[in-house]
Amino acid sequence: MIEEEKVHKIEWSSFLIKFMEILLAILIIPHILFWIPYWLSLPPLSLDLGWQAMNSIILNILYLLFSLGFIGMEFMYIDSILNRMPIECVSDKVTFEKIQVPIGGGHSLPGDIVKGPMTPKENAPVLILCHGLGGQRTDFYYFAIPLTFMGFACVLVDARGHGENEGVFGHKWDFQWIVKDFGRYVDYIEKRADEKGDLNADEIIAWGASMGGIIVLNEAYLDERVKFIMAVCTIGDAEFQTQRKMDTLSEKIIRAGFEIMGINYRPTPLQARFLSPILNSFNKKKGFFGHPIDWEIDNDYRVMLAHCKDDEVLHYGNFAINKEYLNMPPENYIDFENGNHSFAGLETALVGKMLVWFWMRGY
Amino acid sequence: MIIVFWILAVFLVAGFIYFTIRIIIYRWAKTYRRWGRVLTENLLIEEKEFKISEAITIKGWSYGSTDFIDYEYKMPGVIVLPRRDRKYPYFEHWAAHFALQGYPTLAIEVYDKNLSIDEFVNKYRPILRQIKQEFVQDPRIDTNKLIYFGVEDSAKVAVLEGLKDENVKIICGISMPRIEDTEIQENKGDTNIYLVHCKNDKVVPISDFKHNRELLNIPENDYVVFELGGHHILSQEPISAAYFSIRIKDKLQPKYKLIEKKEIA
Repeated sequence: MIEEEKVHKIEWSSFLIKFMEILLAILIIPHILFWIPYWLSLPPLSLDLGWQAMNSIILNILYLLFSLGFIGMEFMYIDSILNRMPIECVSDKVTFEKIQVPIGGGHSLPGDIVKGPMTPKENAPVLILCHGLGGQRTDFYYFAIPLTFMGFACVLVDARGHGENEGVFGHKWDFQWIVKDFGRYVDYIEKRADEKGDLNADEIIAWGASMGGIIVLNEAYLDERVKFIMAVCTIGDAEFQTQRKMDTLSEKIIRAGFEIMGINYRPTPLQARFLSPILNSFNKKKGFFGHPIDWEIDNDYRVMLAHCKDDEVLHYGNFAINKEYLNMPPENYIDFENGNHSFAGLETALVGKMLVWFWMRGY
Repeated sequence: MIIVFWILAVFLVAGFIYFTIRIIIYRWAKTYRRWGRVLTENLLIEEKEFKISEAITIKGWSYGSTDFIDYEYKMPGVIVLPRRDRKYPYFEHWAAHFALQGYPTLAIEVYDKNLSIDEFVNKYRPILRQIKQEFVQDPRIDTNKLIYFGVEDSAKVAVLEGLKDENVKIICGISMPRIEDTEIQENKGDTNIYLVHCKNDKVVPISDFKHNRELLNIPENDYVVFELGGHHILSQEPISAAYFSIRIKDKLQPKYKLIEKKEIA
């Protein structure tokens, strides 16, 4: 456990007060400054500064335009980082089959099975792609679709509280259930493989980004039915992630956004253990109560990771923790200096590296 | 007093405007500079210069992967011919994509906006030929498995030059302009051409793609057409890159070190 005095968290009252102070200062102070010359020209001072009211109004308008432009650009900047694939991918070479994955209790999660011209009609290997927090299954079509040309059938599912489920079923902070649902995806594939024969339940690979990475590192990692896993920009140690010092204002704003969303940024040791691969799945004593379990795992074959050093959502330190814990061979990971949380501008490079991971495993 | 006030006022306003404009320009550049440097320790990058003639020197960047240093097998080599309206490093992501797969890759800058397509093609065909001769001296390359990768007008250079080059086995083209029958002087017949195009391309209409497909006799699985994305295949870049790479792997069968799953007792 990190000692209490070393825990870095958002002090909501002071954070909001400071935020409002900055906002008011930006919006009000310049306008007051612009009007000072006009006020000085009024009695009793009646100073003639050569500065007319019109000039002040012009400055006010200019400042307003600059402010609006700046705010607009900020939104565009965030959008450019988080929404790198603004155009939908539609091609008649790829088919999307809508599915419903039963998860028990009469509930099911909507998803797609994406197939391409190289996907065999029977026994197609399966790639399960897990999206991130606040995302949806369509986010990673850009990676799923090309893999259909390798013969994969790609399964993408909206997690509880996400995508089509938003406002209908579950919540974004249902982490425990969202992670555990992964096993139901695999159950669905096994059942479908038995009944329809189009999927191969012996060839299941899991891929996840951000929260999807938490799913695959914790749940898919321990599921023997999954051959190997790839996790990008994801977590290693929940305590480190939630209690580390935040370096930038963006990190603070992002964390504030998570807390507004209902994400607990002060996990208990039990919650931290549940989400942290190094405490949960990678732990040599893998049983929940610390007892050993039978299955030993060849991490060199099983785990691949990618991260960006400037990630403002899930800190790069998580990657470093996982890498060190797994003692990974260099060909199993890649880290970039830039790219933030979405590998912005690096998608093609990342895809190139991930293809090698498949090819080194005989695909 | 008045002078001091004016100096301060002008200084403050000018400083503020300068600061704001700088931030806006920075954000603007960050937003619209869709592709840039690929900074990772996994990539080996070397800047090169190719002296074509007294008047022409072409800049190039050679890429390799740290995972393939002293690799026991020779790998296919890739020459990337990017868009001609963008300078380095806008095209680095294409080169990184191939290099990270172990292919020694050379990206050359063909920044030349003012020429017509024909002038551009005629200028860069001999340049490509000359650069290729230097490129194949790289001992890491299987010289009989070369790949030309061209974007937009450069794709036409890649196709016209690659079809007659016995070392070039694969040509990848994105949003390639129309090629006339008369322009293909020689086709040795064993080169696979893979194409990507978007139906809403307003610069090179889809009819030109269909014409090229028929002219070059490109089979069904050797092209992908997207409904959206435009001339610059916006959002379809990683899909296209992966598509090309998967087809290249199928065709050229480069040898990869296999990681076997160890049974741990």
